[in-house]
Amino acid sequence: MKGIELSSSQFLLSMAFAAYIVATVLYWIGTLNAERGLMGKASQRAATLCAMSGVAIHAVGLLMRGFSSGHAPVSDMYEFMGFWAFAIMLGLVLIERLYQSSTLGAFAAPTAVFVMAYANLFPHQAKPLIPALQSYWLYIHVTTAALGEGVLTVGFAAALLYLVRSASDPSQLFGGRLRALEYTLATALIAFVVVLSSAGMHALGITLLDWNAPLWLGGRSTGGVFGALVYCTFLIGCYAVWRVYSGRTLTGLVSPLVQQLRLRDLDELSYRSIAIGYPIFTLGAIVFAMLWAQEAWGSYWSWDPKETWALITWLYYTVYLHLRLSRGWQGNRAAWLAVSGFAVILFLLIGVNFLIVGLHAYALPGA
Amino acid sequence: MRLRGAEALWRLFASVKTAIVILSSIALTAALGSSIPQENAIPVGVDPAAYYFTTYGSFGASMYHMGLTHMYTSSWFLSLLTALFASLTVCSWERIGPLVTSLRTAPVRRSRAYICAQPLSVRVARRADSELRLAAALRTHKYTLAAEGSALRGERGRSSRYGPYVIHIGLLVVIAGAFMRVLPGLYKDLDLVIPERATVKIPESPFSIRNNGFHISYYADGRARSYETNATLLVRGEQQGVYAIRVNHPLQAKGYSFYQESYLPREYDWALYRLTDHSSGASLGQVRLNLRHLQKNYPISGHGKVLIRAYYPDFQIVGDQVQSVDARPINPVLKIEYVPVGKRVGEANWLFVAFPHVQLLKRENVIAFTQVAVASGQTTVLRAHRDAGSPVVFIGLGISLVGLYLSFYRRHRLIYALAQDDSLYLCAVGHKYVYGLDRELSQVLKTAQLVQLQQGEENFHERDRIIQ
Repeated sequence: MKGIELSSSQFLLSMAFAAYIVATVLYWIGTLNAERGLMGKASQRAATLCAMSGVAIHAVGLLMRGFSSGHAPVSDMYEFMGFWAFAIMLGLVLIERLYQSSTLGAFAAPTAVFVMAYANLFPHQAKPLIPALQSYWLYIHVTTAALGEGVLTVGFAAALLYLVRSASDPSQLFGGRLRALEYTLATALIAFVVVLSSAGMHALGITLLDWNAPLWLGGRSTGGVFGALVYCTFLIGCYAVWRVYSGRTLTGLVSPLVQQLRLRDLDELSYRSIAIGYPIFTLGAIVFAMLWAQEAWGSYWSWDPKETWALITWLYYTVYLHLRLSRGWQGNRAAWLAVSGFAVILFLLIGVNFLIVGLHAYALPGA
Repeated sequence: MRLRGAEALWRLFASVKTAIVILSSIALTAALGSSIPQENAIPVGVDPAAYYFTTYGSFGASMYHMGLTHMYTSSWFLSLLTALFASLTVCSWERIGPLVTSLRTAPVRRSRAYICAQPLSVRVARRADSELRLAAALRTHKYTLAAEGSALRGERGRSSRYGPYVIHIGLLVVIAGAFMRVLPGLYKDLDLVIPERATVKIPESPFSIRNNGFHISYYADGRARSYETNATLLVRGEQQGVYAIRVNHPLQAKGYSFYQESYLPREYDWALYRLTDHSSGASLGQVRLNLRHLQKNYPISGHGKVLIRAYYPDFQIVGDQVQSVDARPINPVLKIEYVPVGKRVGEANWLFVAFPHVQLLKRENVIAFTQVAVASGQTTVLRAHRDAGSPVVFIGLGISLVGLYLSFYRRHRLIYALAQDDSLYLCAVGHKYVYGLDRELSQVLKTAQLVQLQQGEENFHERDRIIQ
């Protein structure tokens, strides 16, 4: 029975991933055709429907995985990243509904796809829990934190959308900031391509990029990281060549597509997403984490790198809210803060696990 | 004489810019600290200075001497936390009074000029019962009403304005709870390294703990499955109870909590081997090896002697080298030679104490070594903790969560109405938000069945287009 449950849950999770990819494509078609009335609207509606079904399928898949493995489906990198992708899409669907925005998906859905593709790079099999995770807090702390992070990620998507929209207006975005936006978009696109294609190759069993570090770098097995770095460098080269030969920029390509959106609405969308996600993040990543730490280790705070970075992320968004609400930082400045906030979240969820050793380092690749 | 300095300091801490600087400094300091392994994460019982030097070299030693390895208890960091406490206090103190006053004395009656100047304002036809219907509609939509002559005001969500200050108060309680540990007697936190069958007393308390046994089991892939300590709690030398302490299941007794913190590897004390003649099956005798204090040779009366050629307390094969990784007998392996009486050269053999079934028997060996008995023990590391401040911290967190709910999940909005001649002028004003107000106002009008005649600068049709 458990075997059937596990493989069914795996099937549903893959279906959800496919649904998110289809939703992303539909959102992009919708944005491209936004001015052409019917096709744009139909595409956008189909995208929303696809996103909602994806979320529903994902939820069922998570439940089934939870039942078959006997614990909350957030115990290792594969499960947690998948849950975060679910949280991003759930946040997107809810905020889309609240604010009747259907272009937000054009940036938020690919972010969820990126996260879920990254999840697929890790081993899928459900493993029983190590002693530290054998607690009901796994259901409460990790899921709430992931939900908060998902909604904050939607805020990132809205802010990026804001910046892209404002790029067409020379009075809004110019000089260094315009270049910064261009490099941000380039980084996002390259990261998206690398992770998605790596996940695809992984799934198809192609070991093209599973290179180990060369001897002069130590010759160790790096779990494909070295191959991915080479791939990134190659793509950066492609981008540079494209820039030189076509004379265009990514911003120049994307910005005209979103001109029908209103800057003030995008600004408010980004702020409201962060305002909704911030209390959830505080509850999940700080309060519940402290309660669990007290019960497990006897101390509610030990400055473990993961805890420390959760606090840093919290402080970052606290500064964002103060700058926005008390110092009048709206528009561009707030958007840049929200975009950089995503980098902080990425470090919290991925960087800390792999770059810093600590209590939370059990989420290692291959573990 | 006015204390200019004190006043300037007060004003500094009342500013939000200062608060932002303090918050950012804490974040940056914390980030730096997270990249350097801190002292509270190094193995138990090891001298920090020695540890950092041996593990990270002179770079590590300089980090230690600069104080970067106890970043979070350094005076710099503690000053930042104190500054945060001051900022929270002064900022809130300065602003709560005026906020309460302004909310309580906010005008009910607004002029027509004010109402029409709002981004979201409408003019509706006024009939005999319009104002009553409006008041009823506002009440249905959960607005608190106030009237002044021909003016009406509906207010909703005023509590959300207090939200930020509730958060600040909550955080002040949290910081106070965390700092309570400096008061004597309110905080105790120690690691108890208890070898098997030993008892450790917690200083300045009537408690002692005895490690009856530590058990650990593993999954097939090598990850830990479960581990726990079977412990006896003694109060003033008398047995109070026997408990199983494991992660997520601490022992709580009389204000103290005992947690399963970690454990040391299992160590072997001694092993007893019997020598048998492989061909005849006769037993030659026994040899008891004290793994902490090995002799050079062990005579077997009447038959010969066992020579210890090499001893690896913690045997591991690293690359293609055989070596001992640790000085403690964790995986003791001995290279021995049995020399019979009268002979100069004997038989070589290897003893794997932790793996008694592994026997190296060369074709020419006559004597077999069988492990008869072995003694080992595993030291557990428990943590005794007592913090009177921790309930305070959690209460503070609860208060902050309430404040977060008030600030972000409730919104303060007002609807002003002014009756003049045959029109009713209305406007909706939201505190720091605009989206959704128009829908709110149109819903109120719909409930009150009031028909709008004129629209403000930002009319409804335009907002309907909203965000695509």
